[in-house]
Amino acid sequence: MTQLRTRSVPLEQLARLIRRLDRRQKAALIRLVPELQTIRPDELVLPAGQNDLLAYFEAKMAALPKTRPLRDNDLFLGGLTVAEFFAAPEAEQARIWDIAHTEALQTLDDYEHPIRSDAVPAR
Amino acid sequence: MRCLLDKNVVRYILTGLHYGRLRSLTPLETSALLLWRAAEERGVTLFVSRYTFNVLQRLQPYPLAQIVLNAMPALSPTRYQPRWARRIRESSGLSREDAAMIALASFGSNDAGEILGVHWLATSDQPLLNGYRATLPTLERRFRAMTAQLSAPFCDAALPHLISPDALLMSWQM
Repeated sequence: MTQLRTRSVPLEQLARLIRRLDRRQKAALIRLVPELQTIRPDELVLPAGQNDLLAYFEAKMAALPKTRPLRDNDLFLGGLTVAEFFAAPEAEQARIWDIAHTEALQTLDDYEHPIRSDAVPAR
Repeated sequence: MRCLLDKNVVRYILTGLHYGRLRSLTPLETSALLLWRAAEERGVTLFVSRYTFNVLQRLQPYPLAQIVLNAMPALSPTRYQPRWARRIRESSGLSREDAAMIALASFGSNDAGEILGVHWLATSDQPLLNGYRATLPTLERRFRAMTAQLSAPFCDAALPHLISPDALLMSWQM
């Protein structure tokens, strides 16, 4: 898992940097890395099974009545945008996620949910 | 049957769905998504904690969060959850958040208040799994002593099985 993470996270950080470049800088980048022009996105081969698994959940997302896709500049968690959150290293994402949960836990400190006397136990 | 997902499993679901078309999923993301699909195929109800539910509600405009909120009801703390969480902390030394999750798995209920607790708490947090297993005999003893004095429905509460998504998936395949 560590190997996969260290391979993938820098790529996402790199993408974030590239998105910040203006057109002139992007043109210069293509001149520096000319093979970028010859690569098609569908060359990204995902492991067998991953496509099926994702398709299962993408069908759920497609069936949602009123949603819009995540945009990079949308605010996500911890004051970070979507792009910033998902480009952050895994440990940082976990830290932000944990802080959000700690805050949620604190706001529910005195909360007591009502329950029926004939509630079905987990036995 | 009912299963509560730990916050980290939910996070792996979100990152898996976000990154899934860009790179290979990590083993933890794959397990989290496989667990969700397998649970639906087997008719197991997955829950998120009220804490995770509240975090996801902040992300509700986004499809990633919406499909989780649509599929997984919140498990909310009932009367004896805080007391049991305190006893778990005293017995195990687990963190406040971890103790709250374990206690929620025993003393949590759905919105309608029709259920008490879940059968499994699925977590990828190895220290939590180890800490729970190491103190389970003590926890079982204290849990029996506590629930014996409670009225219905709390006297029928049960301790959850803490299990990793991979192990739970394997147990379902057997």
